[in-house]
Amino acid sequence: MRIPYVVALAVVTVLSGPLRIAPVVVSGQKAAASPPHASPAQGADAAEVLGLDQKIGSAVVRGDTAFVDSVTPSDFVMVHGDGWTNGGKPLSTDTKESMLRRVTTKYYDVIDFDSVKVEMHGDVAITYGRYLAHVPGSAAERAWFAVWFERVYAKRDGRWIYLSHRTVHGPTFGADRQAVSDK
Amino acid sequence: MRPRFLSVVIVAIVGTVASQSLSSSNILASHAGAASAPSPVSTVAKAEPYVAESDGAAEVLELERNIGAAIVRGDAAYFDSVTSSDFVMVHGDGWTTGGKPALVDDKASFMKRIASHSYAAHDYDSVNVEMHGDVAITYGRYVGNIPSSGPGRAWFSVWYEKVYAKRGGRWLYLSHRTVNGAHYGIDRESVSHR
Repeated sequence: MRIPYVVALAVVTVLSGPLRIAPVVVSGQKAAASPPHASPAQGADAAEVLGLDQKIGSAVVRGDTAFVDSVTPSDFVMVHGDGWTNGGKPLSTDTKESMLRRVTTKYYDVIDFDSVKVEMHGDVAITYGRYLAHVPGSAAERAWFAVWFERVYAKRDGRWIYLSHRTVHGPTFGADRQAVSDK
Repeated sequence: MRPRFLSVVIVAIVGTVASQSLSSSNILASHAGAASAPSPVSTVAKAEPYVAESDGAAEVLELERNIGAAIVRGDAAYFDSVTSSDFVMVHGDGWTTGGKPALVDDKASFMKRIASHSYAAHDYDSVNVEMHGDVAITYGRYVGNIPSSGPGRAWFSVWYEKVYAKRGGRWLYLSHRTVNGAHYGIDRESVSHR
């Protein structure tokens, strides 16, 4: 069952006391037998990280290059396409520079996350989930797509920094939002 | 600037670690032919010697191999020493489309598997690393053997993404997520191209 991002975030928010949740996997996902203790501070971090994917996505859509620049390191990597998950080549790999170019040119006009969960490891966080996106100017049948991903963040100097994105399934293309919303 | 991607050919590394008592190394060496086979693996396994582009990358890759070897020899203490207390291992790629994974291990449950010698083989054959200073992401494939699994499922291959962090001067293993698989078979050969 897909757990909407808002639900996952709500879970984190509600569990603001000492958390005893899945191995620091914040969501409705089944946990292991002996979950480690997650501190309240870790819960706050989880909530913050859970919101970052959409916050960055929204910045990408509005062309806010300065913000995206501020939350990504110089060695940022974005691997598009799941070809790497069976030893093949990804569709493309963005560096920070090439990714920021997409932001500046407003390459995307929709990036909507709808299933995001987070796995916390202190100052390292892993988010995974899905987003739907639209690229204006693409061929009609490929204008919309869905992507499932794994992302890695690190907390540096008190701020969460977005290090890496890897598509783990997709993109799956379609002519409209509806066509890709269950992919 | 291009990120520091390091394409790795484990087969090439095997020669340098063959003297270790690592069964995976020996098995990899005997399986070296797979690197040139027309398989998904061959698209990543490049016929060139691995050259570490940074000390950190080399350390992480060595740690990954050492953990695989420790799993096979039942060395739970070693695994304990190189993993974080909040270690997570997500088995099965169900999560990559919003479904449930086959299984989620935490540190304690995975150490039980090690201590009970569940794995008879755990051999990496295509590993790459993406470095981000004190965080490293590895991705690739391993072939495993769990003899106690049901008929036709004793051997399997798994494509994964793992995350490590350097803390207190040491790399720690934080997370494993299967991104493709597990693909099961009756023997090593049946899973070696999947």
